Amino acid sequence: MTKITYKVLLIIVLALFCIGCSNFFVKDNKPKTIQDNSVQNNKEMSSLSDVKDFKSITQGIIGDISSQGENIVLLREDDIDIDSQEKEEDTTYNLSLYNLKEEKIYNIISSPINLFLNRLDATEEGVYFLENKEESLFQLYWFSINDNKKVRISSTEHQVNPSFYVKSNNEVYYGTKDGKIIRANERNILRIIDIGSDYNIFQIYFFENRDLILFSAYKDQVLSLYSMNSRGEDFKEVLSNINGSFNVSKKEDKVLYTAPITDSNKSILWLFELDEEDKDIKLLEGYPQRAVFSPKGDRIAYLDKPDSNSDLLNIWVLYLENQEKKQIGSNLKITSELFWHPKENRLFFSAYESRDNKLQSQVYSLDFED
Amino acid sequence: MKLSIQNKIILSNILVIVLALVIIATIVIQGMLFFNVEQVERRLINSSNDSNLFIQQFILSQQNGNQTNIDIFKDNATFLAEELAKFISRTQLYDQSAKLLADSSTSDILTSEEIRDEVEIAINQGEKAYVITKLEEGRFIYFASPIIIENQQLGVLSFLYSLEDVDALINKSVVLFIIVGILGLFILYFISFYLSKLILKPVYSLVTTSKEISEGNYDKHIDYVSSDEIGELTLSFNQMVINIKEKVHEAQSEKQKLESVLSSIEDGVIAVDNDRNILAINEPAKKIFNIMGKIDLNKDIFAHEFMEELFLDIVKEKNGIYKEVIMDNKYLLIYTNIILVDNIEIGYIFVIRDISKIRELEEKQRQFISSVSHELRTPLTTIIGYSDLLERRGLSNAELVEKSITSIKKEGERLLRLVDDLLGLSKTNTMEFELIKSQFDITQLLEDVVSQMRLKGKRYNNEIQFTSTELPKINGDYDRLKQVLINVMDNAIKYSFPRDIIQVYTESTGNYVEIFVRDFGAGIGKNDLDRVFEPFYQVDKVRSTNLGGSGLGLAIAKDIVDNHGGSITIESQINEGTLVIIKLPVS
Repeated sequence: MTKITYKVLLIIVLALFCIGCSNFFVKDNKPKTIQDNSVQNNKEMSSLSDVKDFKSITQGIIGDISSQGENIVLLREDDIDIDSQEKEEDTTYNLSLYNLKEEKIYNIISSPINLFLNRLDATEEGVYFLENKEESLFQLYWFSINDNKKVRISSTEHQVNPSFYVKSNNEVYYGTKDGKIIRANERNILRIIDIGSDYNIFQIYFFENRDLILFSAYKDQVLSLYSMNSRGEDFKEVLSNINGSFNVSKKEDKVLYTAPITDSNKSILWLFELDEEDKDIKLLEGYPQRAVFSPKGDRIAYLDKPDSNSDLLNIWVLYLENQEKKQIGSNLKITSELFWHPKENRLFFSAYESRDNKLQSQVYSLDFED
Repeated sequence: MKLSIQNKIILSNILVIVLALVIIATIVIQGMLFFNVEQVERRLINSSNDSNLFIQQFILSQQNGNQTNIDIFKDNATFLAEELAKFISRTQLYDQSAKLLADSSTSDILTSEEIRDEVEIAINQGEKAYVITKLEEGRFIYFASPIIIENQQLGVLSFLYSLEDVDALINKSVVLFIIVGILGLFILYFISFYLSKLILKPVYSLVTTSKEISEGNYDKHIDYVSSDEIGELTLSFNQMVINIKEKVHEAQSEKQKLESVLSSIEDGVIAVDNDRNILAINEPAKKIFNIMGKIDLNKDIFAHEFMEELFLDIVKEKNGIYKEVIMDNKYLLIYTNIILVDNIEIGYIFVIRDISKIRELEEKQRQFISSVSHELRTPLTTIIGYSDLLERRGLSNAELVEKSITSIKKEGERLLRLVDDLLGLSKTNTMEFELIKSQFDITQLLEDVVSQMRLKGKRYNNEIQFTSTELPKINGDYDRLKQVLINVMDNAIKYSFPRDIIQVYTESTGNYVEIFVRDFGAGIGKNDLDRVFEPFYQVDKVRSTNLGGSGLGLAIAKDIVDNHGGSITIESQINEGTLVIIKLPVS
């Protein structure tokens, strides 16, 4: 009896060994049809029929859109040769205004110095922008479109970070690498709030109705969200360890931010409601970046990588009401932030495109159905 | 091949582990295969969706009103294939007639010109599909997805995705499992060996102890205290050994008692079973059959013909049988019967009684009666003869009358002495012979007897010399011992020659007093020496009869001395004389 048992066991072992080495569940040379409903998650459904139009408007990197959506501010520079991948000497940076209706471009400034982060001022008759003379050194300027006048806003002794906020009264808040938040206008510095030299100010937003400055800053190499009033009082840490930029809704009741996942290169996109304490809503997990509220605040447009190794980006829209997501853009080398048209279902952004063997940044308009 | 229990445990452990390992490996590998393919499938689906959107946004960006979407798609298929290949893998674009429009790869893996199954499904059914194919270069997934722009299917997008990474992972996993399995088995073998040895240690101890106990060593026990099953087993085993030891001691004790009982019986007892194996035998039986050392029934007992016959008889008769036999000049009375236990015949018993002495006694009695008859007849014959003579011849012959009367008187007195001696002898052998003991001085007695016997000795010209020493008092019957001394000295006078000296002297040897009577007469031969204490035995019958002896004197003397706890011995040589030694215990 014992011998038979051992033999049976041995046969079972050998049989399992043979099975283990071959594909049991996945058969070769047998076609498998994939039912769309069975494999796709409704929330991640790519709505191919929702994209109405996708077109390149003009060359350049979009920096801002006017409040009525007629004009966009963009930066244009000389084309990059794909083969050499180096910029030509004597590059000219052109700050321009593009009229969407007329489909015409108007140059505002041409500068040999690299220009960044251009924003229309509150009157939309001027543009705030950063000039980068030396590496990591920026200066904030304001340019009057009508007067064709360029004014330096930031002090030369300030190590300005490439981030500023334009108030409704046309004042501007900008931050420095050594922990200063400065309020200024085109005439002079109005107030300097010194947080501390160990803070490297990254992004600033000012809630005018709340008298609240919300800003992100690096401290000990960790980016966190802080708040204080306009006089620098009630300083407190709002959120610790975030990554990238944050975005505030037009109604100034919600904030979007991303936070890294520990021991992972993925992040989570969170929704923070300002009037409800401890109510952070997890929107999605992946590689979300540059999330931006729609004008009504009911949707979010954001970018996400197809996979962790890709340098291309997909464009998604998330509906806050039911948390449904739609992909509306695929595998694009997006070089700018996303800008919602104030009134239409349209997004503007810039992406690289190879044209005539040259890599150009093009401004795209993406129309989609709701 | 016989396996020890330890080897069975080790082999079982190894087989179980191997089985478990193979099952786990199968599940893991099949799971990995399945989930990896599923993951790839999901990735390809997502990539196909991305790609479709990409194609759509490209077509939209290229729309100029002059070309249809299909035209834009076909014209830019190569560009699109190259761009799409950057997303995931080699990409092919087909139109709705399954014509290959573009291929992102320059290598030519596919040689078949037939429409692939998954492409056909995508074209005809508008569904995504894939096939896993094994090629020389490895396994590939051929994935196809319809390209739908503005609800119009323009063609098919196909990805050729290598499962090289998956296969490599699976192969490495298999190798790892095998290496780990082999290593694990080695380690398992040694651990299993050690542990099984540890676990089986009390079992081995049990085996060794059992052997020792089977050889009779009931003092052994196993030292293993544990609450597991083996602990319970050893506990029970130890208790069992104690019980066995008690039972064995009980049985041995009973056996010893039985042997003692049997040995205390004077008769020999032999018990055998139905197969003639010995059940019991006592010492008297061994003595009868001269058995020393180990008993071999067939050689020592049943070699005797009478025993063999008896055995066969009892087996046949099944009833008690008596038989008298003569063996080695011994008279044996043998009783045999069957042994029953709960009415079941288990063997046979032989009881052997040595009746030689009884037969000897009977012979002696016969001889005694014969001697008595003869002794009585002799004087009676003389008395009757002379009486008859007187009756026939009358009283006329005075000489004859005197002679006859003298002879009749003499024979009558002789008859009376004989009767007295017979009575005296009979009393010593019966309960009537009661010694009236008292403490007295033996020297005094000797002086008394010597004085009396000197008178008789004078008649036969024999001088009795008495040398007395200081002797302790003895506890005895004064009259009976006097009779003994008179008989002994009387014999000394009878068998001495005229003018011979008779010496009487004494010695004290601690607990005994010895009386020596030495004559220098004819002496007694060796053959007669052994029989002088027999009733009626006379060395010189004629001489003894002439001197008035009946042949009972020494027999009576011996009985009296024996009853005092002493002894009487005779040393003698022909023509040298005789020494009688009487030994009496001191008071």
